This record gives sequence, structure tokens and C-alpha cells, in this order.
Amino acid sequence: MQLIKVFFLLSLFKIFFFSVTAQSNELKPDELLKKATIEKADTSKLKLLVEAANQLYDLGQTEKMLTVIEQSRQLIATTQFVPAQIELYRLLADYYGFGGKPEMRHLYADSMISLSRKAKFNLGEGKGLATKALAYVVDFKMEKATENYKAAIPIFEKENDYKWLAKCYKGLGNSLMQGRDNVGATQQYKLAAKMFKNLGLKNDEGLVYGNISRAFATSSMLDSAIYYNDKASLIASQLPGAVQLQFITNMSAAEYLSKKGQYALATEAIRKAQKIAESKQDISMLGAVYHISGAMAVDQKDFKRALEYSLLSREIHKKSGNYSGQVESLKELSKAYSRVGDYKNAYETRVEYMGLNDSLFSANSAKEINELNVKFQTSEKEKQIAEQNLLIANNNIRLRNLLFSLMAAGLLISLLLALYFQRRKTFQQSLITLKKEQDLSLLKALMTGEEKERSRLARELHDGLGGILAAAQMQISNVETSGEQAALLKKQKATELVSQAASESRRIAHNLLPETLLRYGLDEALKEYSKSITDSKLIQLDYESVGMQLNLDQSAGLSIYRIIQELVNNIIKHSGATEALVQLQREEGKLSITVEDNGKGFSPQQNGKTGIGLSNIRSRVSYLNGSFDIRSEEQKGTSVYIEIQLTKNAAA
Amino acid sequence: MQQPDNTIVVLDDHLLIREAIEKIIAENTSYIFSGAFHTSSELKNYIERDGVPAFLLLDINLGNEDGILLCKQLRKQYPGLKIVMLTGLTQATIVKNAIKNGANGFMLKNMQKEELWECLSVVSRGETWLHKDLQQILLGSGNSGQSADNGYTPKLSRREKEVLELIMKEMTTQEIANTLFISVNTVETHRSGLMSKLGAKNIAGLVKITIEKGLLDG
Repeated sequence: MQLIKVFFLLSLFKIFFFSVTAQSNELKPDELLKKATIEKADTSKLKLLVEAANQLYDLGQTEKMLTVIEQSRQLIATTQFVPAQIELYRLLADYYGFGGKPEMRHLYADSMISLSRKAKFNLGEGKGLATKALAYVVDFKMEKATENYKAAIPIFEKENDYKWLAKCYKGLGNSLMQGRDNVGATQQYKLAAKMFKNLGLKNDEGLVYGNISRAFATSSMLDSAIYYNDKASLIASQLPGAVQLQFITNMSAAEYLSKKGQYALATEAIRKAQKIAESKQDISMLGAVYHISGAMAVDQKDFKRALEYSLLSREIHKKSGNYSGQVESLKELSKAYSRVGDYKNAYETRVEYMGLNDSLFSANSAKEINELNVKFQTSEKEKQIAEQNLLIANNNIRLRNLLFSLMAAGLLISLLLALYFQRRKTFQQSLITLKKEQDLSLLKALMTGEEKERSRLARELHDGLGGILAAAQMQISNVETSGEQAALLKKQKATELVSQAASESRRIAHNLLPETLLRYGLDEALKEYSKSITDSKLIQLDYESVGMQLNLDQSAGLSIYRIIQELVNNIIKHSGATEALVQLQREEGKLSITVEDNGKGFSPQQNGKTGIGLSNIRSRVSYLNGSFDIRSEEQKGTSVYIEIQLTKNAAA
Repeated sequence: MQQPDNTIVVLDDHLLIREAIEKIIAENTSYIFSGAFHTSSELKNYIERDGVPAFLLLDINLGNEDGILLCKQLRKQYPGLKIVMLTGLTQATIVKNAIKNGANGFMLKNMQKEELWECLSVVSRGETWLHKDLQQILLGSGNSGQSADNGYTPKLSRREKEVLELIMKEMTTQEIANTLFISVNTVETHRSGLMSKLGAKNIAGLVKITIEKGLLDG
């Protein structure tokens, strides 16, 4: 009876693969594609493409299928035609799901459900739920699978889609059978079989009979099992393309006949099954053949041969990554070892089996699934009441959350800004002390230190404060206000404040260390700087550059940027100018900088009392090994001319 | 392997940002949040294992990594992936560079959630999306036209004008240096600067352009 699960998995994994092939009597994929190329209307074209992809998948031409899918995806992006998208996702769910990527089936099923709900496309939602259910069946989460099938069934009933309805009944049967409820499973299977029969889907009908047969076999009702297997066999013999069905009926026949002691007939049946598996080159089918062969050997008391088959079967399941098959074959193997008297190996295999099996099945799960059937009916009302209670509670919590986030954001901002200004203040104090010493080496250290500190502050502001503020803003924007005017206003205000704080911290960080300078060099940074000054409407600042395509090294670039920044600040603060010009010119290892304004200028007498800004600039220029020339005429403006010899280092 | 067209992943080195985005996306049933990562190798491993998501929200300052470089790599490796930069940086150069390197959208971290939905739907149609704050910044930052063509006249500095005036008076370099109290070297620098700004090949060309454009008339 342990063979049940192997069979079950086998039928589960391949059913879609073969079912349509056996009956496709419509246009072939190539004809569909040809029709699609001449079709003008996008949605009709899309339908043809999706149908072609479906058939290509059934025929196993996956590469071609993927190109057709890509084509369809592009059409979907422009047409937003949901039914085709759902159909495509279902196909992809199967393709990836059966291709060893079960988590992708979940993802696509979720997408199908959310998409259909949004578009109010009921049939799509049903297909999504059924796909989700299948994903859970593969995970052996039968409670969840049952839940999803039960949600899908009323939808298909309402939409009169009997094919999907039948699929759901069969799926429900599968999950009930996994929960060891064979009677319940048989009921669902019979419903499915009747529907498939009415729809004329013979192959599907046959496969369901196969499942019914397995359900009876599990309950040790061998005669009923044989009866249904014969029904399936009959259909298989009428459908030459239904390879899967032929395989399954032969396998079952072999098992049942062997149990009845009719070894010759059983061997004949298993040979047929093995032939099919070999011609399909399908290792999971082959694994199942070995499994049954082993069981047959046990029936004939040939334990050595049984052991050989068990080893083969485990090998194959390991290779195919079929987890559940592996578990079953381990159990068989352990028994086979003990039958030939190898108790050491028997014990070890048993331990391995238990380890794997525990993670697969808990003792409770079977019971839970059965109870679920009952619970499902009664829980709907309770759910509604609970939801209403939750809604009331949530409304209160939301308002409180909003206030909390407001307070937290405010506290955070003031704390961080206070910290920043405190640091800045201490730093400026130390700056003034150091300025008194005219030692160049000290100055040098100071300037590197200053830049380091600036960049550290900038980084901290940008990475630390900036990130936190951005997150705060996103969180606030996500707070639901349930439409209350007062809460809405508070939320708006909070968003505004945090947004201001964020842009302020960005501005400060940028002043401390312009990101553009680091990334794209001096020329770009100055272009942007002059634009931002002009945009601020303080003065019109023009920037001209000659020969600046090559970047300077970073520390020279930063120093020059600071010099220009300082000069422009002086112009804005003191000169009363309306226009200014910054020009950089580089040639043959020399960089000349011109900064001019049209302001009020100053007389030579005033020249001696140059402010702290100007002496700061002079120090910087001397540090860069440059010369500094300033000329001013009253009422005409001031021009500063700086020449810097670029060392090899600085020109890098 | 391609995930459905409504899956979103985030790459940001800030835990807070990752959490905030996850919450926002969880509220909108049209999209599925399928992962948050803080390094590019985490993201790449995920894609190899679970397929290419529809959208990536990508930070630029990623600790040791550069989001724009990463964008370029990912664009090449996964052409179907829609990449939206999500950052606090607003400089025009950075925005342009990101778009040039294959970003489909540029979103600022001070976004409203509605802006995110708008961005995703625009980007999914294959168009480029910029946050509204950026459109203003980019507007004035086209090439400022450094060349002498197109009738554009570059601005001359006062010193350059002085030198140009004296050149027009047929003074030699030495004479100009003496008149303006500057070194010969500096005069030469100004002269070559004038020539490249005005697009002249030699002194004759410089004189011609000066007269044609009336540079010294004002």
C-alpha cells in the first residue's frame, strides 16, 4: 500500500502534460502562430499566441513556447488584456511548477488571484485559486490546498466552467486522499469523472478512474480497485496518444495481479509499463516501475531481487529530486534489507527514512484535513464577526499609530540636528584656534582634517539622517487615516515637516561635500554649482571652462571647488553684484581660474583689511602651489585670477 | 526565469527603508513584494534562484557599492528587469547618468506612495519615469553650449577683454604684459583661452571673430 504515494505523485506531476495532447483536434501550434501574424486586432492575436503557447507546452517544445510567451508579454503590456494574462500565468505556473520550481507556482498563482480581483475577472480568480491549491498539494499542505479548492469551486459553478470544475473536484479528491480520507476522495473523484465524461474528455476521465482505483487499493478493496482500473484500461486502449494513462493502468494492473498471485500476467503488465517509461526517457516513471517490480519480487518471496529493485528505485528518486518518492523508497529499502537479513543497513535506512518522513507528515495532519471539511462550513459566519471586530479595533490603533510616528519623527529630527550643530560648533572653535598659527604644515593638516570632517559629516547626514527621514516619510505616507479630516490634516502636516527636514539635510550634506564632485569631477560639479546659484536668484553666475575634459585628482579638485565656493560666497555677501563669472582653463600642466563680478569693488586702501575668507583662500592657493592676483575698481567690480601649477600627482 | 509582471524587489543598505517600502507595497494588492536585499550579491543570488522580478527599486549610495554601476550591469544581464533608482540624490548629472546606464525610472525617497504606483505603471509600459521634483532640475541643465557654433557667444572675462583689446591694437605679448602688469605667461594663457573659447585657429581668426561678433563693442 505504500506505493500509493508514488503513484499519486506520478499522476499529479504529469497529468497536464499528456491530457490535452491526447485530444487536441483543433489547429496545430504552427497554424495558430501563422494566423497570429496576420491577425490585426491585438487581443485576438494575443488569444491565438496564448493558445499556441499552451499547445507547445503540451507538446514539450518549451523553447519555442518561451519565445511565444515573450511575444505575448509585450502585447499584454500594451493591451492590458487580463484573461490572456491569466492564461499565460497559469501556463508559466505549470511550466515552472512541474519543472522543479514549486515556489514559482505560488508566485504566479498569487499574481493570478490579485490581478483577477483587481480586474473583477471571476474566472481568472477561480483559476488562480485552483493553481494555488495545486501549489499547496505539491507542498503537501493539504489543509491549505483543500481551502483553496473549496474557494474555487463556487466560482466555476457560477461561471459554468465545467472543465475547471472537474479539475477542482479531482484536485480536492487528491488532497483528501493524501489526508487518508479514501471515501471522501472517491466521492470527489466520481463527481470529476462524471463531468469529464459529459465534456467528452476521455483521457481525463480515464485518469480519474485510475485515481479511484488507487483509492480502493489503499483501502485494501482489491476487487473494486481492479474494476476501476479495467475501466481506465478500456479508455486507454481507445486512445493511442494517452501514454500516461496506459502507463498508470499497466502499473496498477501489475501490482494488483501480483497481489493475487497471477505473476505471469503481472510481469507482462510491468514490462509494458517499463517500455513506456523507457521510450519517454522519464526517470520518475522509471523509478515507479522499479518500485512496483520490487514489491512484486516481495510477493514472490524473492527478497534478493526485491533489494536490487529497491536500491535502483532509491537511486532514481534521489536523482530526480522527488522528495516524497525518496521517502517511500527508503522505507521499502529498509524492509528489503531486513528481509535478506542485513539488519545493520536496515536500521540505518530506517533512521534515514524517519528523518525525512517526519518533516513531510505530522501525525495530526490527516486528522486536521478531515476536520477541516466540517470546519470550513461553520467558520464563515465566525469569520465575518471577527472581521467586523477587527475593523473597529484597527481604526483606533491607526490614529494612535499616527500620533506616535509624528512624535517619534519630531524627536528624532531635533536630536540629530542638535547633535550636528553641536559638532559643527566645536569644530569651528578648533578651526579658529588653529588659524592663529601660520605654520603651513599645520594648515595642511587642518585642511585635510577639515575635508575629512566635512565628508564624514556629509556621509553621516546623507546615509544616517537622510535614510531615517526618508523611511519616516514613507511610513507616514502609509498611515491610513480612514478619511477623518483632522487626522488627514495632521498626516499632511507631518509629511510636509519630514520632507522639509529631509531636503534640508540633503542641502547641508551637499554643501559639505558635493556628490557630483566625487562622481563626475570638478567641471560637472562647477556647472551644477553655477546653475544652483543662478537658480537661487541671488546673482547670475556664469561658468566657462576650457580644456577641462580630464579630471583632476580628487583632493586638488575639492580644494579648487572650495576656493571658488568661498570667492562666490564673498561676492554674494559683500559685493552687491548682479552678475559674476567663473572660468577654468587648463593647458600644459597649468590651471588658471578667473572669478569676476560686476559689484561695487573696493579701493586699494581697503585692500589691506581682507577678511578671514580671503586669507583662507590665499592659504589654500599657496597650499596648491599657486599664485593669487586680485584687482578691483570701485563701481566696476572685482576680478580674481589664480594660477596653479598642476603636479603630476594633481593632474592624474 | 521570469517572475510575474507585478513583483517588486528592493536593494537598499538601509533596513528602515527596506521595511518602509515593504509595508507600502503590502497595502497595494496589485503588486507583490518579493524580496529586500542590502547587497548586490544577495540580489543576484536571489535572481538566479527564484527568477527575475518585474521591478527593482535600487538605491545609489550602497555602502561600498555604486547603484549606477550596478544598474548598468543588471541592465546587461537581465534586459527584462525594470530598474527604478530610489535615492535621495537629486543632482542633474546623477539623474542623467542613471538613465544613460539603463535606469527605467528615477524616484526620490521623499515620494508619496501614489507616486510609486504611477511610476511603476509608466515604467511597465516601457516609458521612462522621473519624479516631478527632478523634471524642474533637469529642465535647465541641457548642454550649456560650450562651442563657438550655433551663434552662441561665450562670456569673456574682464581680463580677457583687456587682453583682446590690446591684441586688436597690434601689441606684442611682451607689450601687453607690461601694460597690464601681468607676466608674459599669463598673457599667453589668456590668448589661448580666448582662441579656444571663440573657436579661432590663429590670431587672424581671433581678430576676424572679434570684429564679426562685435565682442568689444559693448
